[in-house]
Amino acid sequence: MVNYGGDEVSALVIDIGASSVRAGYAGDDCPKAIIPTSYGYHPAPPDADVTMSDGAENIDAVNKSKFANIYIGQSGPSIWREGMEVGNPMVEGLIQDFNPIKPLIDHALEKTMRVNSSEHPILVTEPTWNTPANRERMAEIMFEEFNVPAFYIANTGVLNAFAAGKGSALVIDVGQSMASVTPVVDGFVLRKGLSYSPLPKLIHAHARHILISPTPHRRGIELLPHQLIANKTLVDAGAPPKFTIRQDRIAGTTESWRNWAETREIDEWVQSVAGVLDQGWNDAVAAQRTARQYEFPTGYNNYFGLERFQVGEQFFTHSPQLVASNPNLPKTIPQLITEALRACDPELRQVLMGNVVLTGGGTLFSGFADRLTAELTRSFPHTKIHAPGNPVERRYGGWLGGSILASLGTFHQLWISKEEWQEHGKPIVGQRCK
Amino acid sequence: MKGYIDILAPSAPETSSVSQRGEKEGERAFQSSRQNERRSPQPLIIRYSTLSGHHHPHHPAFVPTMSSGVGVNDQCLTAFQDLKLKKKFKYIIFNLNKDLTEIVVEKTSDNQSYDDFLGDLPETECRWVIYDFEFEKEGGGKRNKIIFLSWSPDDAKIKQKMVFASSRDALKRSLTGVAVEIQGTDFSEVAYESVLDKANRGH
Repeated sequence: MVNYGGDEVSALVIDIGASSVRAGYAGDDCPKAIIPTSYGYHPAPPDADVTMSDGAENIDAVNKSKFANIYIGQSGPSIWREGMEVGNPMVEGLIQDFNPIKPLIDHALEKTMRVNSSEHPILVTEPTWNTPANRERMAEIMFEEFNVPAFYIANTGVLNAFAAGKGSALVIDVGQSMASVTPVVDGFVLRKGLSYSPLPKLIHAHARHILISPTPHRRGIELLPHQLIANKTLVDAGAPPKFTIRQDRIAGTTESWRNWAETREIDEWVQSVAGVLDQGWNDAVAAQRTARQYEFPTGYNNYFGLERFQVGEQFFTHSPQLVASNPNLPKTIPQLITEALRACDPELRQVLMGNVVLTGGGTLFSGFADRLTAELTRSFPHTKIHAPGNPVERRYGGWLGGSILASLGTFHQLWISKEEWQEHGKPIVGQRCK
Repeated sequence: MKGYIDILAPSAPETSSVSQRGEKEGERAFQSSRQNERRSPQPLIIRYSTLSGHHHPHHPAFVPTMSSGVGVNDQCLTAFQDLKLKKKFKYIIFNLNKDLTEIVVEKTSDNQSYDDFLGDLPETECRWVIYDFEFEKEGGGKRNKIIFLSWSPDDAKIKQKMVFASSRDALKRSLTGVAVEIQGTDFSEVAYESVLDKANRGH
């Protein structure tokens, strides 16, 4: 509980990632609202009157310039709507488009949690590579548009290290779009050791390639989402699918929605089927592992053996063919770690490798922690990896750390109050939230 | 250099002596990496992935960050001085008070047995320890070093781990003269041999 203005009110914690916006009460052990960061929208036609259609959020005048309607949450992009585009404000872990941020946070706080933001201090998280301009903009949105009484922005690397009980740690965070390695030393981010890359995007692209390309044993797979399928018939594994497309929807389906929907199909396949071998790539071992059956929305189903491990291998090694054809591949996890450690002196490296913290939904990838342990113990025999078994702790480690911190009565010294904001303006953010 | 010092000053307004101490700690922690930089003909440049264009020259090399704001009870410093100067104790165990507002002394002891001391570490709760560690320096006779141990077992509750980790700096800053810092999450990391190893490695 935060003692604010004499009353005990609970602070709120908001953690915005590429896949979801997490919001909840400080002190809780999981976020109350977890909503997709991707949103559906109908672009505003130039100089046309705005009409509200079913399921659309209220949007303020600022956003009317861009969106005629915006659709957020569980009935957001996943509901097919004619001509609906899908957007996502995040690029490489940072908010690039602030237009949808207010509607997204509104949805989480007012629609889902039913709280009035003007009554609660709000702690927001940020990745280490966030820009000063971005965090100041966030503060501005919080104070000016959400009218919060107090605000703080906290680094996810440090929050994750602290949540693991560590002042010093090497935080490996794999999200939906970015993988990062952050050395945290005595509660400080060692900035020159930060390394990050859009590796998860490569994993995704690789999975897409594997699925849509025909192999000698099967045809290329159509990634049609269920929203575009009228009906399907049960078929044998590997048999051509029998389904009817909703022709009525094809013309009204936008490319951005189709892309978003296909991405979801690939992610689902990756999460249910893909894995990584724990001791490095080995054809024989991969072939011996049980093949897993997976059914797509078209009804097409098959067993996936070797190829499901090829996907996960991309986290750790790039094949020579891939390297030859793509000079700018995102760095693998071992490359990111090597780069981070290069900025640290040898004694510090020992400390960090003894305190590796895994966080982010991407690290829940099947076999990831085991493989990482195998890779790291080769160079650092004393490697110790802290990987919370509780998926909530792993997925939402940053949120959880913020939740605990903001719930402490003693934390009040760090909040930027509305009065301070009004008096000092943007510079106070950089001074207070170091 | 200057950049480091500026940002190392504690975020809360405090006395200048504290910020000087912070500065020294920062220098110690990052000395060797800076030496490396000096030695190499070119400064060490972290190259970000070519796919990501976010390199921010305005950011300082590292940034101090949030702490819990928990205070340190005066008795902590008194007990520490008694251990350091008067050799009254072998070790001190610190804990947080019930309200999680202040760091307090939980136990002081002059028991010389390291095994008995390990028995005082709870298996599923966090603590801090100051230990007056005596050892034979390889080829250099008897030495004493003050060890600062942050005990945060994996099985402790996440809330406790978080509060302890974010309060540690406040305690450490008020205790000057610590020679070795250890972060312990299981008993193997605080076994006599591993502590001895760390103590021996220092100057």
